[in-house]
Amino acid sequence: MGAIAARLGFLLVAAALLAPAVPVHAQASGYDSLGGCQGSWIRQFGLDVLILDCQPGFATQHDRAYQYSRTPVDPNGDWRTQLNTDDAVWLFDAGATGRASLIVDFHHENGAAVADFYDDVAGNGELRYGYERGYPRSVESRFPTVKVTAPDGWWVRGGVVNYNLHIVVDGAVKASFGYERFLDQVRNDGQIDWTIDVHDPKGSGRPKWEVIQATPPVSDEWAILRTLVMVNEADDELVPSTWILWPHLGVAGPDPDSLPKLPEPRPLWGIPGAGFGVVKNYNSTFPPIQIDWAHARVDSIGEFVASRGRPHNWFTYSLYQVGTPGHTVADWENPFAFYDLAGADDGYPDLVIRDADFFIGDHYASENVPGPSNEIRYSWDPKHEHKWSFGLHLYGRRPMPAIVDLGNGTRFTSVPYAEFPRWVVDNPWAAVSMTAIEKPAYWTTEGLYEGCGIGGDTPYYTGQTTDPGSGTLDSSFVGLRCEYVSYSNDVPKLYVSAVDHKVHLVGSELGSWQIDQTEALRYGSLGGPYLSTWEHLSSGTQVQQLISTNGKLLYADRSGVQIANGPSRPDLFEIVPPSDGPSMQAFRRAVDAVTPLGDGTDLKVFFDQFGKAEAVFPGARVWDVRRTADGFAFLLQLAEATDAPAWAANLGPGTYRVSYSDRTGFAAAAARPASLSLAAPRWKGDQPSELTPTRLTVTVRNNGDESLTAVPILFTVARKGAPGQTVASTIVDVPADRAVEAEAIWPATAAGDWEIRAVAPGTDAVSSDATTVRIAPAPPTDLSAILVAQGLRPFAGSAITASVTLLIALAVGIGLVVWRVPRPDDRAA
Amino acid sequence: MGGGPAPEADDARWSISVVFSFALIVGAYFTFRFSGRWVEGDTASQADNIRAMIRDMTILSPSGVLYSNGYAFSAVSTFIVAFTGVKIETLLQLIYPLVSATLVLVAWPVYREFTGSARAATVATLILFVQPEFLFVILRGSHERVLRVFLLLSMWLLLRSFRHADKTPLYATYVFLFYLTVYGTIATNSWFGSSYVWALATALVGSWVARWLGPGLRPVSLSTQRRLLYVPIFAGVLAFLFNSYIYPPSGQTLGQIPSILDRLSRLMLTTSPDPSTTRYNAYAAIFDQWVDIRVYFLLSLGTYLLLAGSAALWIRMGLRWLAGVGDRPTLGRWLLWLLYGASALQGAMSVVADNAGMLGGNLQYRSFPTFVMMASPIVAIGLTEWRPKPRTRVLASGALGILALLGIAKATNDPAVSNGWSFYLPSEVSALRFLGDYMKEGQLYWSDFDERLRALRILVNASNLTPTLDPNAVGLRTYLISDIIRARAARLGRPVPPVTGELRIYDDGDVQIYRKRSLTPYQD
Repeated sequence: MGAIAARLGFLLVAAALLAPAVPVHAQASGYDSLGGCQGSWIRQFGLDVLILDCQPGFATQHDRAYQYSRTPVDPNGDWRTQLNTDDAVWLFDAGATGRASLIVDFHHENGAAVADFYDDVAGNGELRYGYERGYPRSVESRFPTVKVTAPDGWWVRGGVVNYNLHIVVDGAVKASFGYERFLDQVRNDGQIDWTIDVHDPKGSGRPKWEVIQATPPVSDEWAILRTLVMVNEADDELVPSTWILWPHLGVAGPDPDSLPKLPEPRPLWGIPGAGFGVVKNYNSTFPPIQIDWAHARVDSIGEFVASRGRPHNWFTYSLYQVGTPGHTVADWENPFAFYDLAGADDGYPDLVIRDADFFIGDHYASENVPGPSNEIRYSWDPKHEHKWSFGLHLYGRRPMPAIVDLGNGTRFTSVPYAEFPRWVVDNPWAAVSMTAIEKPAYWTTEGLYEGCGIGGDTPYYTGQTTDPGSGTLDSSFVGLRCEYVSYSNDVPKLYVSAVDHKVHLVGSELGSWQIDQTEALRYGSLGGPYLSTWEHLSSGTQVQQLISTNGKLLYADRSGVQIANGPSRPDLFEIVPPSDGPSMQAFRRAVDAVTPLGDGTDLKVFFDQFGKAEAVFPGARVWDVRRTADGFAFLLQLAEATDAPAWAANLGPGTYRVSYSDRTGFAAAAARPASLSLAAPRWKGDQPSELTPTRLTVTVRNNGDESLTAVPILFTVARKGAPGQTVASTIVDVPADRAVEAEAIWPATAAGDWEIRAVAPGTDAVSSDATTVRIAPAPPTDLSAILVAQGLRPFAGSAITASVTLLIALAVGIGLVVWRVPRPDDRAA
Repeated sequence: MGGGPAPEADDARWSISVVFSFALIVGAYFTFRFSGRWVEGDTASQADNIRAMIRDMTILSPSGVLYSNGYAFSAVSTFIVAFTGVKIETLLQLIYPLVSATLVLVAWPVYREFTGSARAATVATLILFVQPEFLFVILRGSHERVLRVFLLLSMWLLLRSFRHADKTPLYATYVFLFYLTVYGTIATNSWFGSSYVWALATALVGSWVARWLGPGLRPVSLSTQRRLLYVPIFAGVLAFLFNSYIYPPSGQTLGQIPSILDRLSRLMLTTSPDPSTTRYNAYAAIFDQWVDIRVYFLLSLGTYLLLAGSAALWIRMGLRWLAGVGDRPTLGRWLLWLLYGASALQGAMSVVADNAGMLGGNLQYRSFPTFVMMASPIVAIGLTEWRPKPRTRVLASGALGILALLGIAKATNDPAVSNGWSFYLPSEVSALRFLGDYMKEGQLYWSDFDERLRALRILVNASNLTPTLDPNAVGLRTYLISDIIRARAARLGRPVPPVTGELRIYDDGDVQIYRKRSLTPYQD
């Protein structure tokens, strides 16, 4: 046995001696930031340690790095040939201070290449370490902060970087978008806080997609981004060309205030933008594992695949975890997609679509807007000039149409990237708003944010008001023109107006363009799919007014009122939002072909394009324009007598109701002043009773030609023959020659007969006839009534009484016994 | 050796039997006063916690549904439910109130150890069971009945260990069991457990101080010090381990202590109207809870008598010992005296914490039952030393009977005197289930002016919908209105929400559910 062992030992030693030194550091095409380094060797604990002294360094002007190779090295060879990122421990000393900033342990596990990152988890700016069998090892934590695994077993091969990676993060590293919500909850404690899987299915040296699972130790109640998926559909992801030693090792931002003169090629820290954080920027890419060398911390793990930094990418940020077994229902930003419909291939998108999606029963949805719900932003840049020009905001309740399967078990509900634009523009949506940018430039990486406030948690959508305009049309966004349809249920359609030559939304009810701090245009509709009223406001005061309806134009300003024949059609043409290359091109051509009318803000220019006015009323005023069955009507106040046109001949100064019929033309008659009448009030619903609010209602009729707005209606109650007191009130708008119902709640606090009246107060106060209402008394709340209400059986009362009696008897009995004459055997302590 | 039990033992058995019967009737009354159909917030939360523990098979449910102060009550209940198959509601509503009577079997021996008198133990136990604040917490479905058992057991074991300090094996057994029950207390509610540890530490310090104050106190002081010296340390370690490692959620409650100090300093040192520095009024809601403020004071008569009586007797007892008048203190009475002082001090600190609006703002209510546990034997000592004349004896016994009546009326929130109703109708359960079955998840509904039906929803696991107390809440369109709610409206003088004329989507005669009409196309 001894001889055999000796022979085997000899063979092993011989094999070791004969084997060449095998440093394993396959170099990818690019620069490893080690150009300023000088290599030297020392022998320590029986190991040949390579020391790199670098000026400029990999992180500062002067750094050091130490390589403790586990495989044989040749200290006599060129140190560059001895670099080992396959099976070696690297200790980095940024600043050459003699303190460790980072330890990376490259090794293999079950055939996979692994890199374990140890950093300063104590927060003192230094990684404390010791030696284990001659190799440096963190004494701050036995758990690596970051562990990168390449299951294929190699990092770089033939100049190609391996982007099939599995990364786990354990500690406060900024490893996913939205980390701010929970970063203070995570610790380096052996529990995985993030898992990142990067995929390069073709092995092309470019990552195609990645999925991040955030699993911090927080409750399910926390609305955090749990799964983040980024996909490059064009397979053209940019990859870093400069790194530190290893293709994924980088530097954290921000950029230094002033960079010293550095030799070319510059080390990574000398390249602006290298510390990009989490989100990749347009047309640049740097190593994602970013080290804060000054503080000895792994600072961030940025995107391998850009979320919003490439024009053929899309991402999903789901609050629910998906991509793990049994979890396929995604929500929140699902998907968020970017397109280069112009084919410019300059790294920028010209269409961005984002769906904020919640499914049925989604716990993270607003309790006022249960799922399924979609709030979509659809922004496009028709000239591909990096300026968002138009945007749609769409709201609807539509489930995700498909399961998107990326492979490796990552499948979830979403809209496939290729179908997303058409899914949006070809489907009907409940509400739509359109925003057009009228200022020189607007650009964000996520498209056009501002809309008119439709959808979601807004007062109209949650039923707090019946006014669709409530909460919309924020005037703070100067240079943005916005209009909306509050309830459409149609596909989104656009048109170019024959009146102002601007792109508008079909079906718009209201719109606004805040031209500057004081000037604004307001748009409105008298009904129908096209805008028909324009107002120019200056500091909130109307200075111009234009109405286009039934082929007629009414223009009013301080000088008076003019009437002319308007366009035969309200639109020059209809157009659909672009959803592919041809439609983007068609949109651009169509819009470019329209001649602008001045700067688009002067309503007189709009009016004048249609020729001479057929009627001019100097000093006149027009208001209360409304559609009628076969035309329209308005109130016209004449300041002076007029004899033309024929329908206005011989009209003296005064107020007239002017009506227009498509068949008979204009007609004018003296306007009847507004006049209200109130019917006797009624109550609705259950029989009124005390402390049960009673719903009172009254019919309010306007018998005049002038509409009334904000009319207060009071309800008074009184005992028979007694003076009344106001108990409820409401406010109503009463159009001319129409009746409306006014309702209010009366919390009756006393039973009996009450006489109710409705009153419209004011100088011409109107009161209704009285209605007598009988209020039933509130239910009794004495003990017997409550026992009956409880539904207790007859014997229960007796049982309750008996048990209470027994309790009292026992208490009394104990008292009597306790205070009896003391017995000698009463126990002493 | 004579045959048969000694007369002393007979007397003890008789006393325990009578007081146990009394407690059993109290428990039965609490259960059956409302035919077992009663509910309150803590009971409902505990039902939810037990359900989560059974479902997730862990004391730390990943769903986040857990009692953050301790797991013991939920664990014990889970065991019972798993072992017997009894429904959680049945356990909490019907069985536990009856089980609470067994506290007598623990309280009586403890009080005998404290007072050294079977008669005083009987009176102390009776006082304990006519005290409404104590009754309420041990009868409802919260953790407190288990907590009180552990507290009393640990005191008994502590006292027994004092007595048998010279018998090493027995002493060691008592000490071991003592720490086991201290752990049980902490595991049931770490806040109370920690308070108990502090009380023992306070008693130790008090005892140390007392040895210098009078020669009569020196022997008991030395004995107490010897035995108690390590108790706060070991028990503190137990509390630390529990809060930090065994059950980390409980550490969050204790973590609020620094913010109490911060809030108090802001309260005292600023004149800012900032809501965070506004004084929290823990008493504001009390008077609304009762039909009349005089009724409230009448029902609280026993409490006030206990407070005043125990304080007077405690001071008298202390002064007499200091002056060397009468008997020297026994170890039991000395420890009782110290623990009374410690619990009174904690009560005062609870008032401070409540004024800071911390820890739920109801710490004084929660700490008061512990004070009652110490005050009852103090008063009982005084009462048993009292030698009334026959006529006074009858009157005093009658007064005990009246206090029993008032106590049970207050503890059960009897609707005859209380506005905080805790009973419900079977039809209300059906209506809640209807809501769960037919309303979309996540939608709001209104049901009652307080937590009654909200707690019922959780207790019977009726739905995952979101109840709100605000009848005008944004997005609220569904209202559950029952005959009980209408009666409560009449009692409170508050109108029910304005639902007349809206859609009545459910009506079983007792309960109606209304749904407000849509005002916009989006309200489906």
